[in-house]
Amino acid sequence: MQKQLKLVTLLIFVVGLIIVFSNSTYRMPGNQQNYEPIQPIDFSHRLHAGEMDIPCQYCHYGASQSRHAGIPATSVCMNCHKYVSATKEAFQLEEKESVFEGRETESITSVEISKIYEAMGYDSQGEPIEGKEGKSVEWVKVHNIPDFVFFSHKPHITAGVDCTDCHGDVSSMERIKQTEDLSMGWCLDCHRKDHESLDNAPERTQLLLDCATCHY
Amino acid sequence: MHKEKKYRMNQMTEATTDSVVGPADLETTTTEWNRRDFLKTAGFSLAAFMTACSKTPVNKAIPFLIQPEEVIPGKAYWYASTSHACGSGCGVLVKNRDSRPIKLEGNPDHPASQGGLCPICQASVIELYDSKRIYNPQVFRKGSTWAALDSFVLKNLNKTRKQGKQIVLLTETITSPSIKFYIKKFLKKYSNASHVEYDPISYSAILDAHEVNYGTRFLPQYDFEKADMILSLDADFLGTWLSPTQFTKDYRKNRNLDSKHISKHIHVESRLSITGAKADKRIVKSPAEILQLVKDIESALQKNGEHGIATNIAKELKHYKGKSLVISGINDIGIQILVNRINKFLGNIGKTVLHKNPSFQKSGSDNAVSQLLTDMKLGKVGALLISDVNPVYDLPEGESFGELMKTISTTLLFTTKKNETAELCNVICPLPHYLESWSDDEFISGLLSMTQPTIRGLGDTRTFRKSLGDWIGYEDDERILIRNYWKKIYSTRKKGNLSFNQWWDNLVHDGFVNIKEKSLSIGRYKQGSVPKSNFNNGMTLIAYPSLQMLDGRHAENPWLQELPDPISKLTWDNAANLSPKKAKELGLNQGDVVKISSNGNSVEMPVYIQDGQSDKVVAVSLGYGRKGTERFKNLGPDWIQKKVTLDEGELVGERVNHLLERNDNTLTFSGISVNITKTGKTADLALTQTYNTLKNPENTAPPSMKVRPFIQETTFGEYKKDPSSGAHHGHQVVTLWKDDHPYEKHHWGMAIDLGACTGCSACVISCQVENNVPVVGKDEVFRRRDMAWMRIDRYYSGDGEDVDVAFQPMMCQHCDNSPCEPVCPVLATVHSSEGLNQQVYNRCVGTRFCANNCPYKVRRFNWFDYAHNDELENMVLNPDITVRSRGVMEKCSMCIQRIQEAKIEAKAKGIPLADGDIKLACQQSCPADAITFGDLNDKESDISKLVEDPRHYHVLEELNARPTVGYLTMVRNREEEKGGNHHG
Repeated sequence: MQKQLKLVTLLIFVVGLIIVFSNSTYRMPGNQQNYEPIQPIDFSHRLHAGEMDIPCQYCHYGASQSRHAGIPATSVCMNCHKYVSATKEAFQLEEKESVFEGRETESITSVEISKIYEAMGYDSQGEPIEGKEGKSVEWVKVHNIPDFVFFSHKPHITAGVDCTDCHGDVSSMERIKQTEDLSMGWCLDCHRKDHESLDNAPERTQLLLDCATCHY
Repeated sequence: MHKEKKYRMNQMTEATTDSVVGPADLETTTTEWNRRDFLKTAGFSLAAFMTACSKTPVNKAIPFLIQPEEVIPGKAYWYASTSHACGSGCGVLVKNRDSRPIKLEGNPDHPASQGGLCPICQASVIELYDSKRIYNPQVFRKGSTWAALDSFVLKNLNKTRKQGKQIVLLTETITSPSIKFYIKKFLKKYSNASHVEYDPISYSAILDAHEVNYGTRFLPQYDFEKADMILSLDADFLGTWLSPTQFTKDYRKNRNLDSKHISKHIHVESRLSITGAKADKRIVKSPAEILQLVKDIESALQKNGEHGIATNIAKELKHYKGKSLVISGINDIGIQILVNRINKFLGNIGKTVLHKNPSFQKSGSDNAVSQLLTDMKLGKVGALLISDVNPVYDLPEGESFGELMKTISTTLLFTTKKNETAELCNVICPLPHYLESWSDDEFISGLLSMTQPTIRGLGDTRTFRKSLGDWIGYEDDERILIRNYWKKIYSTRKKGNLSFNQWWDNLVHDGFVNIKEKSLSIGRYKQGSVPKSNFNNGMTLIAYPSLQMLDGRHAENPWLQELPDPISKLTWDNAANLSPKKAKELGLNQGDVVKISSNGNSVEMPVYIQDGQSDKVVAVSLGYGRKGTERFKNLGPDWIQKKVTLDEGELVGERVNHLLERNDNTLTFSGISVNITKTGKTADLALTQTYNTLKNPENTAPPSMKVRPFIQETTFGEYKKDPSSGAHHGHQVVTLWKDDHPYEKHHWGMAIDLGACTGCSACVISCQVENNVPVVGKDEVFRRRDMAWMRIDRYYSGDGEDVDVAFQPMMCQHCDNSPCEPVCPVLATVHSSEGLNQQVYNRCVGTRFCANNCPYKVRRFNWFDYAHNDELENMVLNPDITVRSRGVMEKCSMCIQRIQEAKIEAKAKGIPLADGDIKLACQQSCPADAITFGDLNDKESDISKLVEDPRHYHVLEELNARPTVGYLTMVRNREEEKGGNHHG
């Protein structure tokens, strides 16, 4: 009887552990998988990277040259949004309405794009306002790694790793989301593999298992 | 038009046009970074790097508003510029990361400094981010604007002119041709104005002696490369004298062991300097005896009298006629005239002593300062404009100078920091740090060095040149003031036939350009008469510039304060250095506080017992006791047993400038008669090394090892006979380990040439800057908790005055059989596949087993979170290196970040890593090229060749830790075999 009780207690404990660990809300400290914070501007990667098919490195130009891929400066947004102030549909609608109402077609600016103009210190038409200083957009950083880890984008781009390998299918994300857990085990999964599929993999992946590859 | 661009140029230069530069050009400044942008990136970096380990922190990522051209966050850019920290004008490369300068390295192309950089210049980068700098103009100690300040100054200058009183510009040596030009214009506008130059560490006697001998006041250029025989009379030319980096580079070139002969260096001095430590023959004499010796040498050269040691030296000098060099660092006209005579007699002029391209590094005049003092006493001076000197501290008459300043109606100071003189000035014009300003300087005739801003000014500061320009009606931008000046005169001085724009662009890109030498009207040689010197024969004071502090202008620099003196290993203090014999005679122990008094002035400081020093001198370093150092009061971690670094109102060290004397007008730094009395008080000295020799204690020494063989030493003659001479043989090694670490790709290794190392400590500071090594404060150093990854061990052999000194840079030896690795219970220190011993901070739990098991004692433990509270100062941190937190072990990583970067770069370019692609921080900064690093697997690499060199050995070889850091036997150029094979 005693023995059985012990067994049952143990069983309950193990089942309890399984429940706790299998629960999707449990994670190791620092693990931010599926982190999808609300951003100051509702920027859609689906629209830009997916529908418009803009290459990742048009905006994140640091990736091939530096540690950081970088978040584009607001001035980079303005390269296009100097001319594009709302969606095509919105323009078509405005044109239809203006014809219907028998008035001049007005230029329109979408709510989100006006935030870019605001940041640049421009008016709602995208024209500079005399004497007004801009203020950078404060994005919420999604992919965080601890400061004792030194991750550099550059060698990964050199080796031919695809952006989506780590960042997921960004072109289908309305709001950017961390798809992988970015844990050391996850890094090593890849570093241990034989990378025949990569264009320009290091000759011996083994070498990149040294602690000092990332920790210094 | 351009050669390949290696470095960045300040963007302002790229908008150069042929027309005279006007306001249109200035508009390009809008693309420059302003303070806001700078803070924004700073915020980005902080947000990005400094936060970790808390549960889902919300980090902000703030990009640029407007993308600056060519700037990519996370990528380092380099600018060529010039260092203004120590006055010798070394060319530097400024590493700029996310818009902030974080490291200075010597510019390898610069003809004078040739890639080396002294510790002071390296450390000066932290002063840029000093939050206690003066950032705004002040009038009567109240914040003001430049416009208000200018009108105030101009009003007062005009008033002074009307009163018929003098306007005096008191400056340090001016090396900038454009400033000289604007000063000339200023003096023309104010006919009652005069310009006085002085150097706190005075070289006036050399200049004055040349005036006696050659009719012109100038400082020649010395060529140590061509000198086969060097006689230095108390000139610390490898440490602090004139241009140490340049001299070390040149000196080293003539000590190449592969050549038939190497230079011979005889050093005569009263205290022990690092130059004396390197000398082949070191003679200890008191200043009065040195004077006698020079006189004897001079007469022994002329006729064959019998003067003992002088005859021998004279004989050797004669042997090297035209290839010898005699110099003296003693500021005494008599000695300097004798030195000039000797050099003339030996035919060294034009060969090792160059008159054609003299040095402009120092041109101050002690006479002029004395004259100024007299004028001030007579009330003739109505306005005193001081630029970047601190006369109240520097001058022996500082106190009375300060009193006299109060009687002058207009006193103005250009300065970067609050100092003794600033307290007494009506008007303060804040100067920018040299990393945020433009300048053109001709430190050596014919070599024009460029200084360009590498960051937009952090405060509302203005250079001396710009202020002068504004006051005399040249209201142009700083750069344009310089550019316009050179545009006017470049055709008379340029070499080659580049257009002005190309010439200017080259100048800004390379950081220097060769121009035609300024012709001096050097008269015919005159014998001159030797004036009387006033060196006392009894107990005298020697006040010397220390390698860390020089004249004290960098006293607020925590890195330099914590840098151990290469000889005494003392930090955070200056001490009264006494020879062991003298200390015994006076009944003094190390740490006893004594009172040194002379002519009614006195100073109290602790005694440090220094081997190898004359019994007749007490040596004290200058540059301490600076106001402004009280800021270090609470430096160091807070904990229950904390002792404050400084008591209330106390300063770091003691000022001794008031004990200095004038002989005639010339400032005397040595031979000053003093009295030493015991006070009965004691003080703690924060030393980083407390043992001086490698001798085993007699009662415990094994018969085979009276002296520990860490330092191997031989003579040049012996080396030529047998390159392995001096080596310690016969260690039997047993190993526990299998040879199962093949190191297939790279195997990093390092070799340090003890023959080349001068102990100058440039590597120590370079390592500190590169690797975010914290400053811990005096109390922690006293508790042996200093954090330097790299230290320079110093060992004496011999007794009394006659000691030999050896320096041994010591850092993690990256042993192949690392003793630290097997004892770590959490695998926080493990071996890499490239032969490096890695320290993994995030794994370390702080058992300190590894440090206890390290035979080299190179591991440092973070007992505390060391202060990083000053957000501005944090800008200097290297973002590529973790800032270590409390409870983890750390040590030299062999600059793994540099290795990684070079590998990534090579991979991106698709070329294999070449030997020399990776330069470690210590190696890069070494003025003596003593450090070699490379891949041991590459048989053609420099390091592989050195490992095969018969001079190569390992420290503690018998432990079979198999270090990958090796040392090369020290070779001195002397006849007699001294001390056998071992240093002891």
